[in-house]
Amino acid sequence: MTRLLALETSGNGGSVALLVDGAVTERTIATPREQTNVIVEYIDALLADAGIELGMLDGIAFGRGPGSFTGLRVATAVAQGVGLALGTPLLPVSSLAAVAQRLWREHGVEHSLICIDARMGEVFWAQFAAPGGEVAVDGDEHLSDPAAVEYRGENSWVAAGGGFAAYPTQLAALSRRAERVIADIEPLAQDLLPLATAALAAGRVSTLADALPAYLRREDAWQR
Amino acid sequence: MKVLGIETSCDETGVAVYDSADGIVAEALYSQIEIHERFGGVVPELASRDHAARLAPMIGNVVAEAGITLRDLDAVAYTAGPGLIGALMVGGSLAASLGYALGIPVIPVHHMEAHLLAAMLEPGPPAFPFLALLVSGGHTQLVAVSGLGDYELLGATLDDAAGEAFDKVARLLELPYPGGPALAKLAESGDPGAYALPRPLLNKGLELSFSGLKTAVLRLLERLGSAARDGGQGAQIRADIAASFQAAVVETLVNKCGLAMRSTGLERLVIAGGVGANRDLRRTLKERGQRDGYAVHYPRPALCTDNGAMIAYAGWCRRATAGTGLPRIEARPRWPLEALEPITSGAS
Ligand SMILES: Nc1ncnc2c1ncn2[C@@H]1O[C@H](COP(=O)(O)OP(=O)(O)OP(=O)(O)O)[C@@H](O)[C@H]1O
Ligand SMILES: [Mg+2]
Repeated sequence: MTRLLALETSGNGGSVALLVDGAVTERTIATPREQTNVIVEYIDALLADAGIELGMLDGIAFGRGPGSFTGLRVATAVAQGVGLALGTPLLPVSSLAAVAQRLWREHGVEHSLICIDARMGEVFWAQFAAPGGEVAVDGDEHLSDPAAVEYRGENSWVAAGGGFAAYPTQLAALSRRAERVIADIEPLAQDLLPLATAALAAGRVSTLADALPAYLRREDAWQR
Repeated sequence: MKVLGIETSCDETGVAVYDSADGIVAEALYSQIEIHERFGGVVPELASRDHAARLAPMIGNVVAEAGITLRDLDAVAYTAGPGLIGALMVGGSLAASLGYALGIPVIPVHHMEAHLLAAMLEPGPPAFPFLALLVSGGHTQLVAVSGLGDYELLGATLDDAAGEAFDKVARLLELPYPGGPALAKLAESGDPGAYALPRPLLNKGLELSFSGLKTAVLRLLERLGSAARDGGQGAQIRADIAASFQAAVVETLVNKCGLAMRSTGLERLVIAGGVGANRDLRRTLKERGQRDGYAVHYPRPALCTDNGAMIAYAGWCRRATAGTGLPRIEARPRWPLEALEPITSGAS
């Protein structure tokens, strides 16, 4: 059976989760500031509780963003450190997809538009479909002005993510089309696990050099 | 004992392995100059991105070059501050998980302590106690060093750091980024006596100040106008300004060191930090030391600017302070040197 560790620190806090023989355990991190204090401790505690060692993992999943740049580098670098030391396969997973996965797990949502605050007056967003619970991005992940966010499709869908709280006026018309708006939702590490399991089964693992964050905001955004 | 050192506090990614029996056995340094030069200064987010992309493979390469495997390491040391918070977090996160996965101690290192211990990596290292002149991009400090971790700040700049002054004046002279080394190069073909520039606070205790000097260069350039810009004559004027500026900085630093050496009665002076790579400063201090009877130690220029070797070495010196618990990722953007505690065992 598969044994996977998952790290998600791209949002407002984060979590660490462990999958061992179908059983999932998780520890949540309350604030971004806490990430650096507890992430190693939580990994160790989850492994100890499950009675396994770091070297017995089949892979390490991490939320590769988009999200807080500083935060997602914590998960990335921690995953890289273990990959470097033990050769553990690395599995970068979209943090937006993790939110869509959580919507499926908690509410059975099959169609969603995830939109989170990207600062600088912009949002990260993408549309997801989860037929039978298998979450997949429908189209691309975007960084744009909130006014450019759209949902394409005739089916009913759920709007989710902090973007809807950060830009209520710009996203008002779009929100009215949604079946429901859940702005107060964060990606969790446990929701990276199904996506990472599928990636591992398909052989989609990353090397150290390409297990990197997906920032979406390009370097020329800093061009003066 | 073998210690891996990781430096990511600013715009260079540095990795090295220090072996207590053989010294530095492998090292690599990547400077992000090309990333930041079009901005005229370090862009913190872009610095963090590059560290995150480069560090892990770089560690693999350096360890291989040392002819060992990660399993042969006894500790991992990393720069925990001071520096850019996001950049520090990359090195800290990777160091903590690497050390955890290998089951070895993880040692947070103070970047300025590492700078001031860098001279120990050279043959004939200085013995404690000594006076350290820390002159870098972010710091200009005179520190009485009684032992490892036992530091007393005697004086510091009230405004700009010396390296910062070099970089700002270089920009005024339209020199390529990073300015310090370019300015020093230009000064070689100039006359240091051409322009009388101020030596702020020259004989007033151990406090330093460089922002007035920078302003004086700005005023001088305004006064000279197009004469300093045009043709071969302008080029010579700019070289003369560079040389005069460098002479003012060097004289100020050398004087303050002399003052501090006299008032403390210390017998050894150690130079550390990027401006310590300046040839004129090194030569003048050496001469002054010979004249006034104190020894002057400085590491080779590559060990003056940021590097992984000094972090690995400082980590080794601090091995006794490494906790036995699970590593936490420490990143302290501001962290005064005097906050460090003396440690009893360590360097040799
Ligand atoms: N030959 C030189 N002459 C004068 N200045 C130099 C020379 N070489 C480097 N510098 C200056 O040294 C500084 C870089 O040194 P260093 O890398 O130690 O600083 P930093 O790491 O940016 O700052 P800190 O160590 O204070 O955090 C820059 O300001 C640079 O201009
Ligand atoms: Mg430095």
